[in-house]
Amino acid sequence: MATFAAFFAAEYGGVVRVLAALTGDLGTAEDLTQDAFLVAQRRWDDIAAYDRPEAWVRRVALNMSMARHRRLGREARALLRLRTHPVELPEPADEVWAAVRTLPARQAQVIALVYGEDRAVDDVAAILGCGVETVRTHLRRARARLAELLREEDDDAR
Amino acid sequence: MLDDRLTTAGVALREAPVPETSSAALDRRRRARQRRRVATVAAIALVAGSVGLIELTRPDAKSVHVVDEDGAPEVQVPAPKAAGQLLPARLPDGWHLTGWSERGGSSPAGNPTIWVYGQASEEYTLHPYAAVLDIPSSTIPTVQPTDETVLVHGTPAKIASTGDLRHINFRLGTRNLTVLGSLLDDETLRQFAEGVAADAGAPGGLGASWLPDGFTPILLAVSGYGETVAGRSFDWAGPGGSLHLSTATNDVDRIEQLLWQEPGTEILRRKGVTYGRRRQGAEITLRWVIGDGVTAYASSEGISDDAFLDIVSQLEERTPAEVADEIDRVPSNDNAMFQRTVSLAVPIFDDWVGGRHYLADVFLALDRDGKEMLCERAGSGTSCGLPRDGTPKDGAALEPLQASGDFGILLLRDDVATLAVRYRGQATRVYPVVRPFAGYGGVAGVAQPEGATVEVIEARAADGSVLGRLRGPVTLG
Repeated sequence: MATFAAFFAAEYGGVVRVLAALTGDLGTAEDLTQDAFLVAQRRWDDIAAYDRPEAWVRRVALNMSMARHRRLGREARALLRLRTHPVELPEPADEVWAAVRTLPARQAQVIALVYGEDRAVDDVAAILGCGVETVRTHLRRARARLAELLREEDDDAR
Repeated sequence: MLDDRLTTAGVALREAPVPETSSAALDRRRRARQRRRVATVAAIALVAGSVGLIELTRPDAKSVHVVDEDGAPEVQVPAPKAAGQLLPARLPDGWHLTGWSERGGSSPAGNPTIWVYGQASEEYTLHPYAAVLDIPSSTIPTVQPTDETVLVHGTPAKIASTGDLRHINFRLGTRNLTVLGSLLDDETLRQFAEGVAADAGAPGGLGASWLPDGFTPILLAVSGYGETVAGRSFDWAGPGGSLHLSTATNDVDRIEQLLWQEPGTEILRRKGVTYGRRRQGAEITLRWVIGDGVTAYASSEGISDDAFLDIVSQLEERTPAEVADEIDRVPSNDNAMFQRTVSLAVPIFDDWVGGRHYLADVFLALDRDGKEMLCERAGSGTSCGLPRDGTPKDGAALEPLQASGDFGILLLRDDVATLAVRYRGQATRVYPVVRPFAGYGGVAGVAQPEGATVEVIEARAADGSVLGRLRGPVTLG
């Protein structure tokens, strides 16, 4: 059984990068990643026995990211209603990843894992807890939308 | 081509530097959060009807409304945590929920407004932070200000009530504090407030002589586990920073002895730098082990390194440069540091806030051999403050809590000997009341097993007669 420290050292950076791509903010990505690893740390005895603990922690991190995104949206709506200053979301740091962040959450996650972490589709399916075909569908739709947003031709769509 | 751009963006992402951190940083992160929660003010908590939350705020807070938006849960609330339980962790750093009420208006969705009390103002102003909590309006008693005033620490204090809950709002120095109680008469509550004020703010009160120049004792917080009280914690605010002291003993004489009086004891002898820098030097936390079960922290959180070094140098009677040199020599993010710094098992963090005992979810303790062990709060079966084998430390009064669940702490009047709690579908459990502080009333920790609903809490006298009864469903914590 791997130690938590080794697990953390091996996976931390990858998770941070994926979340940075999805949130557009490194600090937020670090926070979410550490939260995810805190959960893993608390349950390490169980998680270490999993076949894919790295997939598990990514799933937790992605769920946290999604929850945060929803919360920001609610807060922003509430603040607008209250006529106070709206929440300012981080400025996009990169055109491609900024476009990715406009996609539906699942599609964005698939893009981040496939391109950001260079993961195979079946690997992504394991992380997200869904089927391979589902991942392919998300990937196809995400690429089609990104092609529009980035004014590029979708090579796979030809 | 799209694929080229995505591939290039992916490569750039993979090659992007990520700030160094380590698994040890997780421990620090958790502890830092917990420290923020108890920044300066203690709360005396209670269970009263369906009201189960009290928490106070840091002294520099003004005021804040935390409003719900559309009734949807704001955060990912674990399933056992029903609506009505608040998660302060989701508030902005340094902010704390203190109560809720319909006073001040409800949200358009008709759900209650939740606010945080702040310092130096009794106005409640909107604040651009929103927390969405689904709390049925019908469960929220309304705060009823009264015309009554009492003297606390020589200062007029206002009394208010929320359902069965009585508040005493008073000033301590420049701060507004609130002490709350249930099943207490006003005089007992006043005495408690007096005691809090005396301990925390009085010249010569606990902590006063120990503090560096410019530091002001803020307040005393009581720490406790379950059915007994196992320690105390103290927070002080000073110029540009805060200090925190936690103890694994509730023996004030012993604390004072360790801090100031024990012959040959070097005051605040720093055993080593406990934590290194976090996030490019954004935070340094030092810990001193003063004696058996007494630990002190100083954190640079929110202040500059220079200001922090000034504080530490005052404490240690060294120059800031000497302190900085030592900090720099100690590798950060190194668990081994813990092993060099402590020789006894001590709970790293054991404050409770607002009726819920916010133990660190994960905390670190060492056994006598310096072997590190990670303990988890109730939930893992390991009770904080106890060695892994469950043997009580520091006296036999400590008993392991049950394995999981939240628990609240009740402040009770002197004639209450036990609390009998009937959980839905379960046998009644009887919790003894402990009286750690003369004149402060009794304190009992009442556990709420995960998913359990409290139907009735009875306050019973020593002869078993019922002195008071709270009918549920009652939310603890």
